[in-house]
Amino acid sequence: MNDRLATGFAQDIDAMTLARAQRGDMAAFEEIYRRYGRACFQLGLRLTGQRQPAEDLVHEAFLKMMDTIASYRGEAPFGAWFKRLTANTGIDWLRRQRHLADTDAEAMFEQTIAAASDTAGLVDADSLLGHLSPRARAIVVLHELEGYTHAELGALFGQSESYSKSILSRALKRLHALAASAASASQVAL
Amino acid sequence: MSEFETNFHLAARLRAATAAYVLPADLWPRIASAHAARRRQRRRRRLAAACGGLALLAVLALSTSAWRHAAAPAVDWQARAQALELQLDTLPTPVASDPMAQLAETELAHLDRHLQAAYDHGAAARDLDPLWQRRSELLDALLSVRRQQVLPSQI
Repeated sequence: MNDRLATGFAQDIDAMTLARAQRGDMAAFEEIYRRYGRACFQLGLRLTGQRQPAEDLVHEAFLKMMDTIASYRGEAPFGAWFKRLTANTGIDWLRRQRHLADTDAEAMFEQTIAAASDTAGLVDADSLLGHLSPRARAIVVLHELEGYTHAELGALFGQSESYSKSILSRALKRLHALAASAASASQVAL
Repeated sequence: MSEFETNFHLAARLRAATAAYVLPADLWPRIASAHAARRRQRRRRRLAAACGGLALLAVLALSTSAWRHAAAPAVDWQARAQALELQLDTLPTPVASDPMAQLAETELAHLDRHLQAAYDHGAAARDLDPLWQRRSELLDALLSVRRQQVLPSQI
């Protein structure tokens, strides 16, 4: 891929910057931040749905990257490696906040029914996501936007592949239903 | 619209929803400063661990040396001096006295008085041991002088 056209985690870094970063050079780390900071922040926003936790996630992901970059051997592009590190940091954050404590899919969707009944302001896709449980939200984001497979998601959440498929399917149905009712509500208003 | 298309549109909307957010300007300085603090903390921990390791090594070395010292068999200087005296008795008395032998004999006589006085005062073994050690050394010296005097007469 032409790196000039690539954005977000799809960008790559040059070997010199990588080597300097692996030696702990702060200027090289800053260059990596300039290149990937925004992508990292956006993934954080999609996973957490809030600005402050997303900032904390970027903070934590960069500190982890600075600690572990020396062990990066280049098996995958740097951006892909860093994206995985950020996603794992996000999952850890959700786990720490006890957002992932409930593993029962049925209970998880029941909890969000009340919140989903209010369809005002659901034109914004981000507020649509806000009507999902943190776990369902993370699965939608990582599968639909970040390209994770169900096998990877199952492993990430300590569940089976079919569990991830089930959550994603129900979450997408919920999102489509919410989007449709928001669209009809706005037509009525017009 | 197919499910694939609706999912595709949903994904596009989700991407667009977060694209507008910009990174706070002070985030990198905060990360850099936290990283520097962590490095300092790790350096301090490594230093403390190294100092602790050195202290442990020193303690180990000292205790090993003390153990070796304690485990080394103690020399019974009194028995050794008595054995040397018996050896000395087996050698013939020289006709002409050697100046070195004279010196040793004088010191031996002096030491014997000391030993007697120490026993009279009920001295402890740790005070008597150095005297018996010195007596052994003097008898050793005297023995070697006597042996050298004996050798020419045997030829």
